[in-house]
Amino acid sequence: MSTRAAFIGIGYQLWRRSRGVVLATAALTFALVLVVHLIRLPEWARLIVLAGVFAIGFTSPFFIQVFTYSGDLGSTDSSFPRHMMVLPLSARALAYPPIVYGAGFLSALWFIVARLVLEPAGFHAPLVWPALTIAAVSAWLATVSWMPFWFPYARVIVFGGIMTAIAAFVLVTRALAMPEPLTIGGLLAATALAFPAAANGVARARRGDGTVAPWTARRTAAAAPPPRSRPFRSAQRAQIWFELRRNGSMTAFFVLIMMAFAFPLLLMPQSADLVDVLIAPMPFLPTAIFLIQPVMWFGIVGGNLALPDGWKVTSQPPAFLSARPMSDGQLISAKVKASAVVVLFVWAIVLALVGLSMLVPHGNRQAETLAHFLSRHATPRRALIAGAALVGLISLSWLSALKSFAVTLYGRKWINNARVFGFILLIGALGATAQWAWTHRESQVLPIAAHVAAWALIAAKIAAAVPILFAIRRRRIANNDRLIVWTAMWLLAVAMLFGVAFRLVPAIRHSPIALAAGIALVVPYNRLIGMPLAWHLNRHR
Amino acid sequence: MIAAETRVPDDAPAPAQANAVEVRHLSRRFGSKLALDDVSLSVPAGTVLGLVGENGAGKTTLIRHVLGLLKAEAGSVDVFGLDPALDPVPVLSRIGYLSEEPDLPGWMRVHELLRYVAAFYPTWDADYAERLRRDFALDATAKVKHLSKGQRARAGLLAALAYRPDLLLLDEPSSGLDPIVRRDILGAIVRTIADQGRTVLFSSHLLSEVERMSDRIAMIKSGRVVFCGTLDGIRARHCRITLRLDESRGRPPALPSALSWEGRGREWTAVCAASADDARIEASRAAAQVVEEWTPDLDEIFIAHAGGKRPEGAAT
Repeated sequence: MSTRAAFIGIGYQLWRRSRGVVLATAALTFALVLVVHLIRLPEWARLIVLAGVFAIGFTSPFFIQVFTYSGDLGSTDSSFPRHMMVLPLSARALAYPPIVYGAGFLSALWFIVARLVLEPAGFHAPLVWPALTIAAVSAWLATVSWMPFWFPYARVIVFGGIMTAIAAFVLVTRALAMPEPLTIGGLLAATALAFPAAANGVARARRGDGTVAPWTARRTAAAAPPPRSRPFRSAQRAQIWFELRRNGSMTAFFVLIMMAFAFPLLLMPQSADLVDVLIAPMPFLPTAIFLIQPVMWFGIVGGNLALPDGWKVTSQPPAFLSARPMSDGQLISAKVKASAVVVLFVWAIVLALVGLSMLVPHGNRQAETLAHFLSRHATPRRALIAGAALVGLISLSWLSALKSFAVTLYGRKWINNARVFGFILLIGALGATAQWAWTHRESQVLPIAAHVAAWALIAAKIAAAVPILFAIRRRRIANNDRLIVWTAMWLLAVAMLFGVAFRLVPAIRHSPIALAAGIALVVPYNRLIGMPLAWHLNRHR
Repeated sequence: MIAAETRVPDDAPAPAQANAVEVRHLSRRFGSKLALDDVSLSVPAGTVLGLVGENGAGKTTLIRHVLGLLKAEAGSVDVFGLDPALDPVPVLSRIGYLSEEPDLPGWMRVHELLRYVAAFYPTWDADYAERLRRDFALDATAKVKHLSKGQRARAGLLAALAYRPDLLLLDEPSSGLDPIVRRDILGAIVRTIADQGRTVLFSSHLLSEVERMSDRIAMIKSGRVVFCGTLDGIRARHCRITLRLDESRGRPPALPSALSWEGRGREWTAVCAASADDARIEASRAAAQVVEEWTPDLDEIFIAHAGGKRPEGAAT
């Protein structure tokens, strides 16, 4: 089989896997291109365009997973699909097409967005070196995913090292205003190096090499005594361990990788073109953008913490899990607790990174700005607000993950796909609504429409809760006492948020009912109490 | 061979002792495919029931209903008197299950797998688990995904046995096990479990294994139970006869109980779902002379039931 045939065959396979999201991304990009070229945008609308660009960026984890075939990052085995290894193709013919398609597609996406959306919208975004950085990162992510390693999680360390090297190279060459061709040449070389390394990784994985260190003593099967380990104290402890090992490590790693991409934002000098436009009036904006990212990433991938079999979206959970004598509530409780551990772990590292960024000299002088700000404006009240905001962000990250649990636990692929399209549609609808609201901001219709919409949504939320509660009772998932406790906890959370907002933000005190309604809408109820029901319906089909 | 199809009613009612599993008029549809069609089956406590049938006959679907992983669309499933879909915890805590699919988590090491599973069962016997691990020659530190198919099946069997479940469900256990483990270890375990008053329900393609290990045998075809009973009872309700006709014919004679036919011209051989006496009466009505008769083995009965369509012109 020729290399050309390999490109065609693998290209077709990648297209079949990703065509829905590719088309949705293309549609959104095209819509943004039309908007910025056909409509004369007012200043405020540029932020809507930026939100649209972020929405396109949200699809990058999906594409990275498709093009790199990434699997269990903690595993020593190559994640290159085994069924492809038996194709009559050389390792190079197997490895090169996905890298070419991945690097090409992602860098072309940046190129199109920067050239046809950001620039016409008034953002001066560099074109070539970011596109090549994306290509290098994508190529090396694929390469490292396909290499077999001697130790678990060695892949993570190697990938972290390569990413740090690429990021450092780009930052140094740009910060020191070195000629752009130097940056471009370095990135091209980095991308080119990934190809032979990937082919080597696939070749070694294909012949079964590379997962056992040469100095490891060979033992006869069953000769080794089982390692001494204490039994779990309870079934739920065992399940939390299972969830953390199976999904938690992967999710934490993914969010931290994405945070690593955002980390240079904290170090970027304020002379950078695009950043300068946004940052100049607000010195803490880079930190704020960085701190909001865990919420966003947990919202995107947090639902995977609920998947029954790793990050695989299966049509039905494996019997190994479903057949354990554990109630639906116990399993959900274990998943919820494990997700809390993952969120806290990620946040500990995120806060350490923020602290670290303040110690770096020649950065955007966050530490000096913070010290200056604290010396002039620090009061106990503001410290309380800052602390509450931090706790709020951590809680919001956890909630972002939990909000997707019910959909994931239900285990129907069409709902997952509908969610992606729904999200893209929502972004578009919000943009259009915001635009309409701005152009009609003097109209009296707007506040009335907002009130009606809010109360209609609350009515819909209550209406949806009734059948869920009945289904939970009918299927004996929880008794009345438990449902009352869950509802009381939700009411308590709403009341606490109301109290905090009412106490700390004087501007919203004049409309307490609207505030309460807004909080009641934002704090999920149906999706949280629906989690055991969703799992029940998936477990007992 | 030409095959014919006749449904044989359940021939052996469950004994008076309590049934570990009771399936009544169970039906299940996946889209347009009727996977189970009015299945009724009981497994008395302390017995071994072997489930046989072709691929796609509905064996795994039936076992998944017993586990509660599928909910009865019509009919009911009781395991130890409880509905496994409504009361999964008390039911599943008494069931050991070996799946046909290799669904053990590949990232776990064998000792981690045992540590995890042990947490769910208060009756987990660590010494017994260790003894089985040695018997199965499993490396405790090996990752499940690095085990061979057979080793994985042994690990699954170990995890299903070590808490001494009251009901052992084995879905095609032989597909991953080598002949030695299958014959010497699995067979011994199954018999020991039954001797201890516990119950085994297993599906298999290997009829010799089913014959050797089972107290009762049920066959499923196209989602329906074709027969269910003891091996002797099933064999007594079937016969194989060779008929001689007065003149040469292109088609076999009309025997209502005939399941399958072989032969041509004046001599035809049939496997019938009837006793030898009944088959003789049917033969005489068809103006045929019985020249040979004998009791078929399970293989012949299975193949006769599972065979293709009734030939045109054959008895209905």
